[in-house]
Amino acid sequence: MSLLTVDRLCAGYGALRVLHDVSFSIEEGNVTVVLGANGAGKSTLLRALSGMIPATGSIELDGYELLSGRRRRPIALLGIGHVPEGRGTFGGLTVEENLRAGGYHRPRGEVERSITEWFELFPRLAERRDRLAAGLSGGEQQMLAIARALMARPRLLLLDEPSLGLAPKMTGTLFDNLRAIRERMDMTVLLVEQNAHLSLQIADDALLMTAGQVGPRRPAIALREDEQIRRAYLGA
Amino acid sequence: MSAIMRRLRQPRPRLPIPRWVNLVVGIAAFAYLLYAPLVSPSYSNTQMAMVCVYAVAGLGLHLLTGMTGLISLGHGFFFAVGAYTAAILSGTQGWPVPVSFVVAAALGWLLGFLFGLPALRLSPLALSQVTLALALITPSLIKRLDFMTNGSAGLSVDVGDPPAWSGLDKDQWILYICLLIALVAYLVTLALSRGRTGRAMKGLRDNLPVATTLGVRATTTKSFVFATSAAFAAVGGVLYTLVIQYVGADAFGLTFAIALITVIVVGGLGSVPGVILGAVFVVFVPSWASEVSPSASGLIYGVALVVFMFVLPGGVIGVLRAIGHPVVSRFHARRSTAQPPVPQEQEAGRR
Amino acid sequence: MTTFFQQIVDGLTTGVIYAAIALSLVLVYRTSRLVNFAQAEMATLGGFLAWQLSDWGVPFPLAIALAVAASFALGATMERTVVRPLHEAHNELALFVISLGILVVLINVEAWIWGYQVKAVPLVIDGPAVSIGSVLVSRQKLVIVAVAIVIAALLFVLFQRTRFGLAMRAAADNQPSARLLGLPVNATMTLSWGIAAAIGTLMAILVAPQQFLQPGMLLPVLLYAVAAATLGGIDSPVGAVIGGLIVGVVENLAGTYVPGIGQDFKSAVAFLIIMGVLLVRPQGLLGSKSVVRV
Ligand SMILES: Nc1ncnc2c1ncn2[C@@H]1O[C@H](COP(=O)(O)OP(=O)(O)OP(=O)(O)O)[C@@H](O)[C@H]1O
Ligand SMILES: [Mg+2]
Repeated sequence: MSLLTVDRLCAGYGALRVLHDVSFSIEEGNVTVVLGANGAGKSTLLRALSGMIPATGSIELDGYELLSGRRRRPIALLGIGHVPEGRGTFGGLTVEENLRAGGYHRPRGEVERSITEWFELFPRLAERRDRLAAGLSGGEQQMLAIARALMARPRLLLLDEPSLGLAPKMTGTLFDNLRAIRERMDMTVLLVEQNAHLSLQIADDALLMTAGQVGPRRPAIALREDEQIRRAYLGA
Repeated sequence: MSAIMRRLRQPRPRLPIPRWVNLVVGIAAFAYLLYAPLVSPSYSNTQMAMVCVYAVAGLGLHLLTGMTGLISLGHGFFFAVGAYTAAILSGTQGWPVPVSFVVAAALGWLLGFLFGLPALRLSPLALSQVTLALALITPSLIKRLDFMTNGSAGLSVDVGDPPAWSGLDKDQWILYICLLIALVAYLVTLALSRGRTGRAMKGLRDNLPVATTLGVRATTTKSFVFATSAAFAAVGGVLYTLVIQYVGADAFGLTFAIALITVIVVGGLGSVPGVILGAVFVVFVPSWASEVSPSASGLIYGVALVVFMFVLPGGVIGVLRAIGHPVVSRFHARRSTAQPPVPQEQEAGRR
Repeated sequence: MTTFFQQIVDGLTTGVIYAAIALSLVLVYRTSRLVNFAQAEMATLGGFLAWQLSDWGVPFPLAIALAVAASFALGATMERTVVRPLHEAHNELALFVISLGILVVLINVEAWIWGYQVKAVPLVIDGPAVSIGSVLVSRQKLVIVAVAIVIAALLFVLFQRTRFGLAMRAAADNQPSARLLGLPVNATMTLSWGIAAAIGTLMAILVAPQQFLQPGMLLPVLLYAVAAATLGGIDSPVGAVIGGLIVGVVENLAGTYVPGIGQDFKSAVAFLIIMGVLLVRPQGLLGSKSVVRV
């Protein structure tokens, strides 16, 4: 069953239109990776999905139309978590406060439980719980941003280039963590990633994006074998 | 935002008025201005002269704010420098008025440059903080220098008497001086904003990185603009002393600095003719309003700032363009089939 | 030596006022990225409201409460109507010009309604000055200090101990992220403006007997408050308080001991502080660095 269905989505910045009639759907419980060149519009797609920029067309989350209705509810309340490009942690807040902000709409008791849970999964964050987020390393901030988004228990997680600026080893740890999260939570993920090699390994499905348009959905495993894809994205 | 607000705020392109029309209108206006002082009552000549005062200082501020996007509340200070230069040199010391102009312009430029050296390293926001402080301390600074400025009592002067050969009254003579200086300032501003410097400045305002890569040396350009605009303000100050024949510390505080900003905002930020309209506004409208209440004139400044910035960012010029557009384009349509291209603001897809 | 300590204490008690207005500036800056030059005049307007109410026979404490509440509403309304659209459009120049416009409007509205004749605002507490050792402090000043401490404590609790305060800090820190998490960003902005205006008004009422209530009463204070906020860090509430106290003391000592400054030219100290801090350490003592980037 598909959790998210996007139909003829158009969006951009002011007069500049970046997404042209984008249509696709993603399956509940799957990790779907979006691959595409720089400037293809991947980040723009995620921004349109989470309502950061105005859009037209249709975005349906589990049968609920996000683009209709005069006043939109915050996407966090609809079950979408978005870890933006460049992380967007609250640098002036401590690690723990960042997590609390993520769980803003959940009851206090659950928040405490989730915080303990994430600190177990990310021991590096636990050690730094009272430090300001601005003082964390890039990888730690990325973990924090993901954990913060997960605090709201989203059904759909949008992840924008989590490996950006990370050393290969850190990227490896990050993807291990993503795998662990996946096993723990029943969650659907839409992942934008430059690192096609790693992302195709944890993804179930893949979408290719070129110049503001999204191609048909294909199984990740097929792409891993596809000669053309290997040349374009895996550098083989 | 409602549809009406969006329409009001829409930026208006420059009207495609043919060059010869501009030239004819300009010459006609100039001829009228040459003639009018001879037949107008003295108070109206004084008001016209005040328009020139505000126009000259406003053109200076326009160079800075309208074109670089930087804002300064400190131009009241440079204006005061010019006003006191004239009062002291030509008034107390009895030197000829042209000397005051030269000294004031040079002093304004130099002080502007020196102030700009540190100040222009700041962000626009920080610059506004620093210049606010400058505006607030200007009156106390003048009072502190009371051995020259005579403190709060100020200096009454008798400068700018017309030469005997002219046969003019003092108010007429001074208005001619003001008109001449205003014309020069206007032409200089036009030249600066249309030439190489103007393009450089616009680049600074709109997109610093691009301008930098295009080889515009940001700091140099900014210092030059800031110093020049300070010099304009100082020259305006000299005119002020000629017109009012008195300088006092409290005239050059925050209220005055805000009046200068009103000049460039009301006419339309970034428009040179707009500055003249703004100057007309700050001289005439408050003087009408003060018949209602002494506070009404100040109130109008404030309301004008809010309304023009919030509802009509194009200023009076923007309104005129909106009104004039249908007329001018019909005129064009009749003369040729080719419509002038009018850039349309495109509406992004809205939720 | 006695004069010296007296100067320090005087500086601190004046500094408390600067700190309060600086705190208002900071609260507003954090939400709207605007140094609201109309802030002090909004406070003065609140002072007039309190005076007017008590002049009509409303008991003074009630008049204070009503004036503070009205200021809260005024601040909140300004945020909702004028400020937010421009803030969302990232139009800093327009915001700045509008804050000047509001300043001018307020001064003239006050002058129109109440005139320039100084209004006698009652002291909240009367009686001879209290002596601490050899230093004398008036009772009203002690009240001002006490009120300021209470305000600071309440703000601390709000920011550090409540969920909404967490949202306020998060929204000030990174607005897009706060929106993505569904934090009530708009509510935090409106509330910040309201709180800022309320603090200003409370202070204006308390200092009115000594500053002489008339239009533009707090403009001199605005200069020192901007200096205080700049020194402390324009986005740091704690910095505003510390900056206010430092500016108060420095200004007082400079006025007394530095030759050529004198009581009338003390304002130059504020100018030098603003310029110096912005050049040497633009983020101030406690501000965050990112804010300073253009
Ligand atoms: N904030 C913005 N304002 C204006 N245009 C933008 C903005 N962000 C992106 N764009 C433009 O939109 C297009 C798509 O950008 P987008 O960030 O979506 O690409 P991307 O696929 O995420 O690229 P990358 O892999 O480099 O992150 C680009 O041409 C870019 O210039
Ligand atoms: Mg991207």
